[in-house]
Amino acid sequence: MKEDITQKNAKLVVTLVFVVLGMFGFGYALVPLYDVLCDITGINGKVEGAAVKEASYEIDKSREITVEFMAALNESTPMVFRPETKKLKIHPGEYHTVNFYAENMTDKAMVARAIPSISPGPAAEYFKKIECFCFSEQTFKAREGKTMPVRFVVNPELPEKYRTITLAYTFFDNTETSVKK
Amino acid sequence: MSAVVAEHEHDDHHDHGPQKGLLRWIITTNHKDIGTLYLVFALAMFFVGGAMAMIIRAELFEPGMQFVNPQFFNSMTTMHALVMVFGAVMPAFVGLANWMIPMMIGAPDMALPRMNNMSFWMLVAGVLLLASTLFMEGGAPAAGWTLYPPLVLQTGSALPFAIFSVHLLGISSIMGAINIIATIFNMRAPAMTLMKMPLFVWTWLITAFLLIAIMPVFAGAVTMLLTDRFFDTSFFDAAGGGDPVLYQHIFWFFGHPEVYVMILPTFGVASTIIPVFARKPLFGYSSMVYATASIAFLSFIVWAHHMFTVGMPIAGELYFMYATMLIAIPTGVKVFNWTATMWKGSMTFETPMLFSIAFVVLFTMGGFTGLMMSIAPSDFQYHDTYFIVAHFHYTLVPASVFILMAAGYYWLPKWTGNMYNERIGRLHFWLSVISVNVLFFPQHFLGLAGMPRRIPDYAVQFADWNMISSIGGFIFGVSQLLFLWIVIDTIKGGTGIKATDEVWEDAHKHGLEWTLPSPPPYHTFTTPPASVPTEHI
Amino acid sequence: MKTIKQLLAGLILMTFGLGTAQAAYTLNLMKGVTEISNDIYDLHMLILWICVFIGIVVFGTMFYSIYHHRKSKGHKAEQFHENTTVEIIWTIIPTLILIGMAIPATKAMMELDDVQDADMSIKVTGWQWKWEYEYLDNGIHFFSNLDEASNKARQIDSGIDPRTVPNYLLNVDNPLVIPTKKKIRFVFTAADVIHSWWVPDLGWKKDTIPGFINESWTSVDKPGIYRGQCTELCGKDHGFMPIVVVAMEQADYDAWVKKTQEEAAKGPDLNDQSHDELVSKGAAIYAKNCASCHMAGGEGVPGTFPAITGSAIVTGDIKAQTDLVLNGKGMMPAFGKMLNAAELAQVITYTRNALGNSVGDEIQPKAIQELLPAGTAPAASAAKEKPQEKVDASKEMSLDDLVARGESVYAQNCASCHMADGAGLPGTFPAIKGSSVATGDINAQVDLMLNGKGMMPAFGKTLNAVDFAAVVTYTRNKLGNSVGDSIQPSAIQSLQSAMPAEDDDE
Repeated sequence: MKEDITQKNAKLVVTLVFVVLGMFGFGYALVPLYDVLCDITGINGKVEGAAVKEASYEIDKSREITVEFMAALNESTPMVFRPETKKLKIHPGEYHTVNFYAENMTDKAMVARAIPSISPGPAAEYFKKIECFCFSEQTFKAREGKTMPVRFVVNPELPEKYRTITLAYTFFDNTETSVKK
Repeated sequence: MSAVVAEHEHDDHHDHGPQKGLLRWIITTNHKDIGTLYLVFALAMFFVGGAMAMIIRAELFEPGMQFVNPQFFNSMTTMHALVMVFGAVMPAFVGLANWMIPMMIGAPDMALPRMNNMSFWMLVAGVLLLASTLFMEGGAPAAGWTLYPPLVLQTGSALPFAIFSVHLLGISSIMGAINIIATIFNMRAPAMTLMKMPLFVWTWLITAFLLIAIMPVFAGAVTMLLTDRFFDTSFFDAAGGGDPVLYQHIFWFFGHPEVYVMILPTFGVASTIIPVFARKPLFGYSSMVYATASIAFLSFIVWAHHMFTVGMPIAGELYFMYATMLIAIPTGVKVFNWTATMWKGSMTFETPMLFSIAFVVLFTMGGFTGLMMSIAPSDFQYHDTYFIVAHFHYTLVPASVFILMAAGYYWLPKWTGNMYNERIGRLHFWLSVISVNVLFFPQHFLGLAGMPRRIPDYAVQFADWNMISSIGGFIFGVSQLLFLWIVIDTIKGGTGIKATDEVWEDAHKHGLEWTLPSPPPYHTFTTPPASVPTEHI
Repeated sequence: MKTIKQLLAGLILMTFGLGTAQAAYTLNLMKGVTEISNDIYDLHMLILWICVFIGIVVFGTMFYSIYHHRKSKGHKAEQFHENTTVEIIWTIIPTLILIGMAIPATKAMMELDDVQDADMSIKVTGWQWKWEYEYLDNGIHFFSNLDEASNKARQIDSGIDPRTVPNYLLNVDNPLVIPTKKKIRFVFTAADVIHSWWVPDLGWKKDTIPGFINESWTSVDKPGIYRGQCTELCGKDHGFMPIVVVAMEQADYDAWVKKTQEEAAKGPDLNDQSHDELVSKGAAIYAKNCASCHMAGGEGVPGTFPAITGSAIVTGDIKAQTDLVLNGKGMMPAFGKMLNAAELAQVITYTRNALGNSVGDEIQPKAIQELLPAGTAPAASAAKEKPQEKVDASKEMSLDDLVARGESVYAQNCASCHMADGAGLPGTFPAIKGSSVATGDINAQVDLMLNGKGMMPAFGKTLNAVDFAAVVTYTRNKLGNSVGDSIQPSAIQSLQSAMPAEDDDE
């Protein structure tokens, strides 16, 4: 009888320990799951970090969408950063290129990364970028200013209710972390 | 693990009483001793966390900064929450589980006594480590108990210690939960079938599964914080392609079930006490079990109602709103059940019953505000204001804490063999129930009027209600010293009246623990009882 | 009900003898001044009353039972339990009530979510511990800090009774000004940690998240001053970053815009100041911008915020300190973006000569101005966006003058797409060199540049008449073109004045 309970306990404990380890793994699995979820639902307007191929869409001349461009800097990023075009009216399906201007305000070389965000979130999946300075870290020489293009298209399947899309970039100064790497 | 289990068996062959002296408490594997340790520790932490609350209420007594600087104030709100959640309420329920579950299901001890001891001492180590952060450079964590990045990453040298302490607390909880599950599954007396178990045992079984599912997720989340800060990962850092909101999702995936960890055993104790003092069976035993299980299940799919304002797409907002509203149904079932149990009973109002009734009423009030906050558009106003502070304190203080008091009064005579002082008990109840409402009810007004939470100072139009709330807080705080006095007094012999075996009229019909002597011998149910009471079903 | 509550509240207050100092407190949610805040208020009241009703029924039953079904009254317990019918009823009724609540809640949610078709946009950035506002349509841009009176009174042991400070902790130096009855879209982001922007009268709050943007909108019916606070714990001074929104009639708003832009155009006073003047003016700037971290006495917070007193940076090379203050580092924000050159000179000089330091040197506004990027100093930015720079458009200009001026205008406005040499980007941006537009009918080119087309922005509003004429002339006579004609600023000005005053989407 006793032996029996001991064995049962041991078995149960092993099972439960596996559950615990599984749930610990699940916590980490939430990270990629969240990205999948973001792609589906557009939480936070997270957008793909990689270029898509230029495909041809049928241009939807029947409606015009306003695309707004915004630039932001994280706290201590010593840069000047602004969109050269603030607002553009486009037809879904048309390819457009806009420029952002960024300048390193320090006397040292700087590595910075631009993080894109789109609002409203659910519109993010229809916003395709063919070329973007946000795909990789940007290196700036001391006091260097750069004009950087973003080429994009809005998929004509974008639901009618979205008439204004905002594309924002925030530059983060990654000089220290990239030096470490 | 199997080695531990084998040793435990060896242990059982010695049929001896407790060791003498201090060593007894350090190396004990007896469920009653460990239960006592947990309960004493929880009570101590209740006063430590309470002292922090007093500092908060003192600073908020009047507008303007009087006593502490804002950073320390933030540390206080953070530490108050962490100490109360992980140091007081959860350990108190684990203590009750240790004491009562074996006695309620006719088992000689917990299934894994060595692990039981280890889990207690890890809890102590975890809480001490957490407390030590108060004295570190840069101060204790001050980013709120939710530890949201990026703010929490600005913590000074305390951060890794706080995170390691959360790991210890998590491992301790997980070990406790595994032990409880193993005890309930494998150690029941043969006559104690699952659907005859007291509801306290049922709710703890479900709680233990919640703990096993969520504590590892929390451990993962804080580990990610640690690697983000020290090892250049960017789980939550936008600069590296991460997202700070992801932390909130992971945290609340843990956090919402976590708040139910603190309330489900509460339901269990209330469902155990109310029938005894109404002298009636619980109205719907099986529906209570199902309601508990469905609340536990729902707790996993509603987490983002804590984050309605982070900018989720409308489909997400609506889903989490609907799912959250659903919780009202099983919760309602519980409240109706307790009411129906009292209906046409033959009630007496000893202190445990008084606290239980206050729990039903005041928890329901917390439930109402919970329902109000589930409505996403309204939550855009309520979120992060004193309205939510009032809400969750109603579900934790006059609910969880009151039921812990009720459980204390209910089982103290059994544990000590002495009756507590009923007059002082009732005085403690009335002081507590009045002051807790003076303390928290005005906070509804403050929140609705626009006072954000976690602020050390406020605009003058909030002054009057804050002062009233603080006065209530001080009275509530001082009143709890009465409880401390009663506990000590009862252990020392109390009123001089020895408790009978069943203590409460016909209690033996409701639970196996009342068939044992008061106080119970060091080892109980070394042979399982032949039959089990079924009155509670 | 409300009167009873207030009566009760009054009684309690009298009991405690608290008086009624600034008794503008409310007990209930405020109705607010927008359609949405009113909807939310109605929703709140609906659910509150449902809860009160359920509460009366449940607690009524319970207390009836507690009163009558007690042992001391000799009541014998009945042993009934488990009644399926009752259990089904008390499951179904709440479900129906919940559905009844969900319908209006869903409606309000949909309304709140619709940020489309706004009349204007404002970008809100949360900082530790201040707000930054940028009007996306007219370039107005400023920071909003806790006002000085509150900031003084809120210091520990300040000796100032908060009750004597008007709108204690709910007042700022620069409020956000918006027009009434316009749909205003807010775009939220943060520069450091998560904050949350809440003005109860508008009916909602929204988190500001570093690296991400969130949107929301409002349309205020009534002119007035509406106050709110940050509602997401954001560190030490979370409680001290209020929000003040001033809603004005459109005409007043327009006047405010004009005034603000004019002031901004003036820029800071860059004249040299005496050492003592710099130090004494720097004290106030230090209190407002630096004291929350480095503390009022400059002692800092060990382990978190370094001390100013005796700091190696502050007592070391002034250039290095200026660089750090301007560009920030880690948690130290880049103040070059928040303060103007005069303020920066004052505060830097102050830190070196007060707070226990006595380096004895100073820095003048002009030296700082040189280090600031053109157009990013907060005061100057609004001016930069503005086309109506004072220029004399009536003056006749020679072709050479126009070409000379046009070169820099081209470099600033056109070269990023059409390239510096006018070669364009094949497939994306047409070349200027040999372009049929730039070598064809000059009026057609002017029209294109005034009004834009596709990706070509409309420069009619962003360039003044002189610059405009200059750049047109430049493109026709340089970059490989040599048409030989020119257009005069006066001609452009008359075309510009014929354009509609505001874009319809603004």
